[in-house]
Amino acid sequence: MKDKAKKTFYLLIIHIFLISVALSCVFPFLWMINASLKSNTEFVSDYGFSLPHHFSLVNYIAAFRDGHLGMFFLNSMLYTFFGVLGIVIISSLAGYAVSRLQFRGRNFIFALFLAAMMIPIPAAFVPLYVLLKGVGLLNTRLGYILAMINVGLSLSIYLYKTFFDQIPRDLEDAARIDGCGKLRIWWYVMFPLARPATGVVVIFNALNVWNEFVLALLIFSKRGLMPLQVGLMDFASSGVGLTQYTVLMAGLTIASLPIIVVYLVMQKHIIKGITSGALVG
Amino acid sequence: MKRFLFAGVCLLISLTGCSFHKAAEDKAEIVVWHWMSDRQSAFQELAKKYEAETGIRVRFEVFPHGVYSQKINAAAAAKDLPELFGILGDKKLFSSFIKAGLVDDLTFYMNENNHRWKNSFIDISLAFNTFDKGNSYGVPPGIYAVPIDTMGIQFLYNKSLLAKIGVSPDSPPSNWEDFIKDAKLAVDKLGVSGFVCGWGENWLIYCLATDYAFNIMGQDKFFATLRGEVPYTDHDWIKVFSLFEEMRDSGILAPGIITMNNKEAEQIFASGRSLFSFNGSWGVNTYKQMNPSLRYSVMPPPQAGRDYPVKIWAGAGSSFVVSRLSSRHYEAIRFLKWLTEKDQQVFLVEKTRNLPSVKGCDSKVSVSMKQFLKNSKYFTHPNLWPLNEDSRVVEAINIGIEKIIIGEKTPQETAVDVDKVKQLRMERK
Amino acid sequence: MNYPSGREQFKSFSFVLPAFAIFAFFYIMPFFYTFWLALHRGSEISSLGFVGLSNFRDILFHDKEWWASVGRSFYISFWALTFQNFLAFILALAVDKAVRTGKIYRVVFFLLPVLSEIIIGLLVRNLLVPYPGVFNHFLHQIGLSSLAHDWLNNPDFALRTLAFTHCWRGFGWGFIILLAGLQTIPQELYEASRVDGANAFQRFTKITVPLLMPVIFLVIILTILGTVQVIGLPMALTRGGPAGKTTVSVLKILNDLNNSHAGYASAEGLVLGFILICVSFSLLKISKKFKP
Repeated sequence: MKDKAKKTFYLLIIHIFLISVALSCVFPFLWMINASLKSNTEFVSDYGFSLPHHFSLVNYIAAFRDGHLGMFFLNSMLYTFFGVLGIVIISSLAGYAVSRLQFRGRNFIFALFLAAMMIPIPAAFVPLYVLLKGVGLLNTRLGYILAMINVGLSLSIYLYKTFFDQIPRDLEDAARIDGCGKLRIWWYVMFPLARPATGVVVIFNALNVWNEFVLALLIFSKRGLMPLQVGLMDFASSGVGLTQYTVLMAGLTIASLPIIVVYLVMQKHIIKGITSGALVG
Repeated sequence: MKRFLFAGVCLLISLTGCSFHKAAEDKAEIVVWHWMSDRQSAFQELAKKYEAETGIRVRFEVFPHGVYSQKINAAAAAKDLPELFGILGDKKLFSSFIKAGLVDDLTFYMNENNHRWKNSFIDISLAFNTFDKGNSYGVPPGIYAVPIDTMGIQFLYNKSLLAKIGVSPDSPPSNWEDFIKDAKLAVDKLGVSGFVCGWGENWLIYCLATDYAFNIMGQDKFFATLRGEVPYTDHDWIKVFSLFEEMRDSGILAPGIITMNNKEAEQIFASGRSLFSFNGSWGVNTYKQMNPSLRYSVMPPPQAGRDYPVKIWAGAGSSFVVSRLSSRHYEAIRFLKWLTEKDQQVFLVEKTRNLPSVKGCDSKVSVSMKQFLKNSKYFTHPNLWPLNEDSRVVEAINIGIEKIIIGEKTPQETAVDVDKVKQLRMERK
Repeated sequence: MNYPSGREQFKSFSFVLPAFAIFAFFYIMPFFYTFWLALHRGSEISSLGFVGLSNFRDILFHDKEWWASVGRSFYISFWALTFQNFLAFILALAVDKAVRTGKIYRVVFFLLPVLSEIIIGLLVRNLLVPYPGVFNHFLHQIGLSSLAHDWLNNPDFALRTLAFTHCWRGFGWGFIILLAGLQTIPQELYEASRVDGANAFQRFTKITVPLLMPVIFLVIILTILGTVQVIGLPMALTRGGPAGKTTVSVLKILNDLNNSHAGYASAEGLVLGFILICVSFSLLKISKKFKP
């Protein structure tokens, strides 16, 4: 009897703890949504902490109509989709090679990728700009997507490698005996098994590309190519002299929805992925 | 498998295709890069008007403050600058661009037709962009940029609050002692702050400090310090730093002032929570939007020293330069001339509530804005000085004054710190 | 290593080729440029002067502000490693037990990393600014007035506030990874040990922790890399103030870059990178010892 009471008591404490932390996580979203439903002058006076006097969707409408959010939204979807697709393919190929294949310089190349995660290169904008201009990729979608792929390469390759390391070799050997070349092994055996690692890579990179704006401002010189975050900032600062915070909030709310969807879809894979010992060092 | 690869390659090619198509479009237009997000829509309207009048397309692209300088640097290195752009930085940076051969000398066009273009500008705005003979930057004398607005940074006071503490709203304090006294009264009697400013943006600290440096030691000694002839540990400089100590000790500073950005400071002043403030003419717009019923006015900076006048930073707000690398160079200048004609300037004044850079628009400028051009005989600006202080020393001054305000250092200690940095930088030369 | 034939090696290398090509273009070449730049003073526009290694000498021996900023970055890392990951761990443990509602928590706790640093910074700043002082007001309401401080502007508290905000925002990643790791551990092990008479504490230390070690090390390394390079949050919360008390290393680098000290900023970046490599390397060595 006492045991059961003790157990329920502990369970209660645990739940209270979980709920309070959860509330603190949901709070920013509520604040953001609350702000997006009020007028800017109201926000400026109460810093977003009281309920709006009149609920209005004016900010959302303004965001789409005046802020051309539709165009920026599409751009971001394009960049995120192709960027993530590119990263998944390229880094899983590379991860497979570094994990399983043998060639001179293999470990050196892998070490290079790892080192890149640690060494920031602050003045990289200048050489990047010059290089991109040199190959004619400046102010192009392709140039930006490639730059975004590069940003996620190191971590993604690392993740894939550690995951591939865990997969037993028998499956591979069986396929090789059946006469499969390296590429077929990758496509039919390794990559499917790595689905969970792919889940992590997709979420991580989708988040990065979706929220990115600095490289976009650097590489693009035409508004029509800019991603969503830039469009939001533009629009929020367009009111003469005063930042339209509430419109920004509306835009940010809209902007966070796709990412949450991606996360919801992918998170099942992540759990499975790490479950199968994916990220084990 | 093969089909997948094939589809992928097709997709990539189509993407590249998009970019080539875009490249073809760029042939016949003038591109302008700047950072003024709030003026972008006004600029775009003007561009449309220009295209209707002359058939030449003008495209304004705005890049936020933080990324703008990086982008310009990178574009300069790649020789990819647009026809017109603004330079975000001090005169030293400006001179670097000129010396690197990136910027056009506009003197000839200014002096054409009996100095017609040149004379249309408000003097101080144009002086900003002019390099005189024998200037310390090593730049051949000339006019290298066109100002498109004017600004001034002045002391402001809230008329209603001043009246409430028993001072006539038309006679704000004219000396430092009265200023501190009135501010303290506001704190004690009304529960508001005495003074607010966006000191999280460090340069405003330097602005205020130099205003009073001129006041206390006069401009000769000030420039002598910049040349390294007078140390920052001089008693006059300590007097300057002590002004900040006095503000701290009298409790008049708004809480959180040193991490406050300018917008937050404007917010506090606009909502009547501070008696005095120190801000630029761009604030007029913000105050109007935040609180149209605010009754405020500009006042000359309260004098702290008796021997010399106190100075006020004023000059061109933003200016455009013409890139020497562009082939559409003549069209770009034509556009600039058009942009700085009265009609267009008046349009900008009304839309963006900034002061115009050309003369003769006075009737369209609101009363509150005109105030920022008061006291013009005291105008100065680092861009007009014979030389500028090294940026590391300016950083040291700003951080040093912040440390005084949070009580970590005394004015004497800060003076010693700043002087150390100055010695180091002078040695390097 | 027994290398296969040259042709085989080339085929293998071609798997890495796309990644390496992109990497070489976007990172390696700019890296060489950065290294070259670090040997100069000034910045590209304002004419560079070759100074050899003196930038590095200045950074290592003369620049107190730099080491202070590195210290602040590692201070935040320290808090992240302890508080943030501890919190993530506890939460993961708790959710592991409360299996039924686990799914909801999995989503909720990840909401914060989804939001960009800028908006979290804006929110927290609005909460903590002295006026209207929403957070302090809340403390008064629940009777904890003595805890009310000027969180952002008091030099003693500013960095702590930044660290705490960063941890609060970041624990979502650690939580997910640790939770998944926990769910890897087969229930049978726990059952077997319970049969053997082990109590909860023993089960924890003998089963949970050892099996989780590799995941823990991954989280540690990722945390360090992530916190040392944090920049959006300090910018939005305190702009590096008050009086530079929250200027972390990457923020200092950015400030130097914007003040036309590009060469110096590049050198600082390289120094920081070197420090991180050393740290990661030592952690790797240590983790090898823990492999089960």
